Amino acid sequence: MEDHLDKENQVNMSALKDLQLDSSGVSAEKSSDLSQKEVPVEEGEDFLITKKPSSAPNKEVIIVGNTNTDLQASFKKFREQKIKERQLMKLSQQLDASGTQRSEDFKNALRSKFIEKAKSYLGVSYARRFQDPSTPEASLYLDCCGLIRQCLQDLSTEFGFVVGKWNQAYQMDTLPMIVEDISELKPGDLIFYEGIYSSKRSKPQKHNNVHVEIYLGGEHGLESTIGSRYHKGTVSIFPSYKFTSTTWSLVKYHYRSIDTWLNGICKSCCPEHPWQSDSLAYLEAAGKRSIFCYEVEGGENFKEGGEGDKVMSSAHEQQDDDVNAENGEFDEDEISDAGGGDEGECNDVAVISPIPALSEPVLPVVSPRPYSASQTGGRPKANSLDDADLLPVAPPLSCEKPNSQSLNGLDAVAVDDSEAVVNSSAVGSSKNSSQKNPPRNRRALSKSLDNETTLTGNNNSNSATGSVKLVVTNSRSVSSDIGNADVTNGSSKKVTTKRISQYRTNSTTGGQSDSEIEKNKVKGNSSDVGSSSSKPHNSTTTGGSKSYFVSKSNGWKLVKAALDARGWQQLPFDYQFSSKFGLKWVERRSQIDYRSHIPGQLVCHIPNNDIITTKIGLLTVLRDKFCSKSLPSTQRKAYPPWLPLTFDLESPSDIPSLFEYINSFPETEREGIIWIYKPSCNNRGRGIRVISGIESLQLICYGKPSKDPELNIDPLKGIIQRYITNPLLIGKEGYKFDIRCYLLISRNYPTTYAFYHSGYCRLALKPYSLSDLDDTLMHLTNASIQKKDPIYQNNKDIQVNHGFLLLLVISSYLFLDSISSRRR
Amino acid sequence: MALNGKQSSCDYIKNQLDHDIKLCMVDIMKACNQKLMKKHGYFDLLGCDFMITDDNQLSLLEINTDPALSLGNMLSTVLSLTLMSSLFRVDNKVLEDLLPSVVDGALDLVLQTQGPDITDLGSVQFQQGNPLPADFQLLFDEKNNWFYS
Repeated sequence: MEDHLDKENQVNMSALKDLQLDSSGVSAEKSSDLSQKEVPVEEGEDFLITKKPSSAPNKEVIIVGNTNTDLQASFKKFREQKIKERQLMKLSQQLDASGTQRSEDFKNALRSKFIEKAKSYLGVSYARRFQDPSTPEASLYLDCCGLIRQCLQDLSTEFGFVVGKWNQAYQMDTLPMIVEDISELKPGDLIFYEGIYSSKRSKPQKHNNVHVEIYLGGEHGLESTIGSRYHKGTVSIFPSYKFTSTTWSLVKYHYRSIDTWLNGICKSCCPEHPWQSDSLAYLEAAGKRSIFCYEVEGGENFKEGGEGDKVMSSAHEQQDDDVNAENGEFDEDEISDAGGGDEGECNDVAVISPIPALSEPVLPVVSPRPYSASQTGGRPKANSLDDADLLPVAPPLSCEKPNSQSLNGLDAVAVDDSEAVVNSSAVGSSKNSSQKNPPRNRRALSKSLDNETTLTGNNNSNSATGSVKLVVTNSRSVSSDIGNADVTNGSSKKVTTKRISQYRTNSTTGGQSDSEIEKNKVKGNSSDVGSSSSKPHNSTTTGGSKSYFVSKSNGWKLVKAALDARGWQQLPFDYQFSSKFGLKWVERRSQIDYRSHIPGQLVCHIPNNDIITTKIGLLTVLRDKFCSKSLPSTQRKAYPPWLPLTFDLESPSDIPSLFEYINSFPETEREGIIWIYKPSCNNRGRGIRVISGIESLQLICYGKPSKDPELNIDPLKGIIQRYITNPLLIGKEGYKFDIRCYLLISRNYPTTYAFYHSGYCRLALKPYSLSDLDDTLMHLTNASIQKKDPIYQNNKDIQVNHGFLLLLVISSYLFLDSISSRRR
Repeated sequence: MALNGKQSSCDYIKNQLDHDIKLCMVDIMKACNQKLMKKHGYFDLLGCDFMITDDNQLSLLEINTDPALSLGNMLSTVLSLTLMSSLFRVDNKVLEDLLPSVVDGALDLVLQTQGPDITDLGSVQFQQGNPLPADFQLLFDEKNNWFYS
């Protein structure tokens, strides 16, 4: 059940359905008084579910979803719970980063609480089928890992983390401390069972980890455990951890100390399985826009305010203003919204690359208000400005712009960055306007600016005003910003002459100068504290922060290597929904949220590139450019010579044109014309068919309507092209090949640059012949065909045993020696 | 069947193919440039597939978004095939370097052309003949109204 719940962590409607379940799931308050939930330790199947601990989720609540339960209230509760979870996760990460050890006393107490908690579930069924049919369906079933998960969830406040949703394999991966022998186990430690399922239908567990029990020892016997065994049917105490399972055969016992858990750390130590929680990451990535965004200081406001929609909707600006006014803090949101990060995100980055600076205290000048590291998840963010010159200079950029901008511009950059750092200290706040900043923050700011400008050796007052303006203009909410800008930018001519939306202009310029270096320092610093993801306008060369997101797909390692070499910082893979990145390289356009795209953020696809990357799109574009529409398609000889004769099956005029074209040939030749059908959108050769004969063509163009749905064939969509029957072939056998070149559109606004790379050459694996048109191997050279090769059988995509490809580098024309043009 | 009888194909590939491909790409760029959505930050690396006929006619097969960049994992298996290694002289090194250099060069160019400054366009002068990263070549420079031709 918890599993289920966790899967539904995302903000969606099914979450609503589940929310009531979890009254005990994260019982931050409840779990504090364990006594209420304690249940006499009983062993035996007669322990009825009705007597199950009060902490177990109440089945009734589930049903209530259909009745008159206050949905709002339920959701509010759910939200609070999720917010708590997130806070806990942050805390845990912080604990981890700080390396803090809890006292032995605390850990021992927690250990026994853990055991008591497990005992409280004695008698809970392993699964429904073990339950007495006469009793009402239980709301809680605990299998082996479920018991542990439930206990950890109940005690999540005490432990200080939220356990992941996965099974015992995950649980073991989070426990790095190996205990060699059963005799060294402490009560509460875990015993994992590595085993092989006897049924071949059972998918092996990760690490073959098939079972887990909690070691008890002591009065129950030296080998005693508590656990939920499949054949036993209920959570029970066992005199020995040794038992023979009917479903798997044991390979090995693994003993693990739960010491790391007791220290509040629960993260995977397995290099193979990161066990990254998607749900939390999604919420994190949603940042402040998520209604589950926990606001460390402003959060109470939200909760009491109650309505989630306030947080979600545009009203949140107002709300946040209030928060800020109350907290008297400077807001980071100008940054975060301009591609900036929220505190959660920053924190995560910090965890990813922890550095010594993490534990540095916050400088008062930056963060005048009291600051609690624990509340913010330990982001030592604002240690920056005064320290800027002490921190290591960011690595030199590998591709600096040759042209440096004016010093003023650079100065503004530096100020801008420092501002970002200042702002990042604001916790749990959002959009703000600079007018709301209390004076002391202004002081702090200008002080830091003084610092900055001293470092950069530029005019103080000028840059200070410039910076204030930048703070303002960084906000995405342009309308309000313009107003602000008008208020603040009076003295900065440099800035005022620029349009708000061009704030990036100031931060442009990757020239090498002192101020640039200073900027890098600040930048390096801020990224060190984990907020680099928040400032896309930080980077010298990119206009974005030097943080990038790459999805774990096609070629991501290459992208990673290239960017890492340039000093960029990678965002975690589960940040795919985050809008805070400097560069995003993903496989599909759908992975990019173009609505929240901020100018200057580099994204690797043009939103409508389908106008050339789909066959129909390309045809349309080319026709528009090169063909007069008034001409019948048969006469569209004005096609560029490199475009094969093509007909669009979705264009009403094209199909008649196709047959017109065929009919222009002598009757004897018509059947012999070879065509290639390509579905419009599929890439990599999927769905392509080589055909000849009018009948086949008609089948594709018109389908074969039939009342019997089994026999009915719909007309296909896509294009029909005259097949090129005389390709140049390579080698004695005559293999077909194609050339993969690259077209790089490196920028397209306000002007376009495009580049060419000669790429490589791909070869069909079977000698070319027109005798068998169905054998796509010899016709197609697309990369995906190779995926179907037996070599890739481990890949689930593979369905057909097809040939594969050889790749040659055409730029070096290595294959010239073996070119032949043998036809057929 | 060696190339003796097909000297023209060899000559074409040596002397003309690159040129034709570039012209084709320029045509495509001219056709689509005004239709693509434009914004500071967009870039795209497209894979263009071409074929050559035995009478030296270039044919565009398709343009792919997200071209395969994971060459590495298929190299070892593919290259070990006796069929291929007996047929062709394959330079493993070149192959292994190709895709990384494409990605690296592409990112270089993106970072060079997409400064943080939306107005800063002239900072890098791409001229024909200037060596560019990873053997990229400039095709299309809208600002200077320069196209490969």
